Amino acid sequence: VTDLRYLYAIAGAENARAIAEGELRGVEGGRVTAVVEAALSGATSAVPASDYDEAPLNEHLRDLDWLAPRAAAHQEVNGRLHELLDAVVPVSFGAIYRDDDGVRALLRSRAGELAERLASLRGRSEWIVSIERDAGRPSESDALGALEREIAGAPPGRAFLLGKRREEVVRDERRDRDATIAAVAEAAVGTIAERVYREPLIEGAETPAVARFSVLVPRDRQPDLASAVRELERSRDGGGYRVRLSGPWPAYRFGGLE
Amino acid sequence: VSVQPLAPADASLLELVDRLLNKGVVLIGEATISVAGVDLIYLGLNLVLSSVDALERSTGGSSGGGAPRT
Repeated sequence: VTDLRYLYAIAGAENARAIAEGELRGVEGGRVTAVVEAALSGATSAVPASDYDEAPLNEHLRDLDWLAPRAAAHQEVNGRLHELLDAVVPVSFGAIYRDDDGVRALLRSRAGELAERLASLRGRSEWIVSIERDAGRPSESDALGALEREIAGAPPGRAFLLGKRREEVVRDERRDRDATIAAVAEAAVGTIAERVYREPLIEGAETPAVARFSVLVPRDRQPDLASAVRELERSRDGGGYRVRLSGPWPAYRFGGLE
Repeated sequence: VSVQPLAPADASLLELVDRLLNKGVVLIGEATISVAGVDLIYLGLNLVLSSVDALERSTGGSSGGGAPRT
């Protein structure tokens, strides 16, 4: 049975001992070890080539029952590394090398860039701020109230047309409110975060978000981020919305941005 | 009342997969450069993301981040 090396994250060479002593287990239960090259180390574990070589892996990826626990294990390793170490660059799922030399060659060829990324993430965490519309809350505005009164007193034909008009007003007002809360949120988290990235929305997600932001925040400012989110939800613009904070994540987003 | 952030371990499968398959440093250059035997296998993932979302809808939003801590 041939083994390949699965790479989770990159850290400083000085962290190699902490990675080994963390006694982490990887995607297939293999022990997570550090491969060191000059100033960097890669956190890796062995995975069987029968499942992780290109063809079988791409086949497995279509199978969510196969993928889900391994995605969770990948994040589990990165989450623990993020707790243990001051700086870690998390790698996307599925970076696989033939052997330790392959990992070393990678660390060598991208040494400067990876060191810069590590420095920019040191002492920081990534958070996701999602703004979701509170579906249970009815629309209400002066313009709508007036329209509804007019509909109530109108003959059927006119009431039908006014009803159409009402739908338009509801849609427009909602779009305006969505844009306002998104802008207010971006400004609010921007006072705490060092970097803010507006995420594309996940198509057809179960809970439709109005806006999602990834933010990079110094670890000691987490309470300030939580306060900012709480105030946002209570603010006038926050009426009718829920703000969800998720984290701390290793910097999947900011570790990968140029 | 304080805001209780949702821990990554409780993230939905969709969010988890979006984060670590769609983001994260992609070290794809080395696969093609392939100097000293570096052989990175990398994946086409839009397909995966859409099927994750379909799965979540069909199961009413399962949690995918539940790997036990060791």
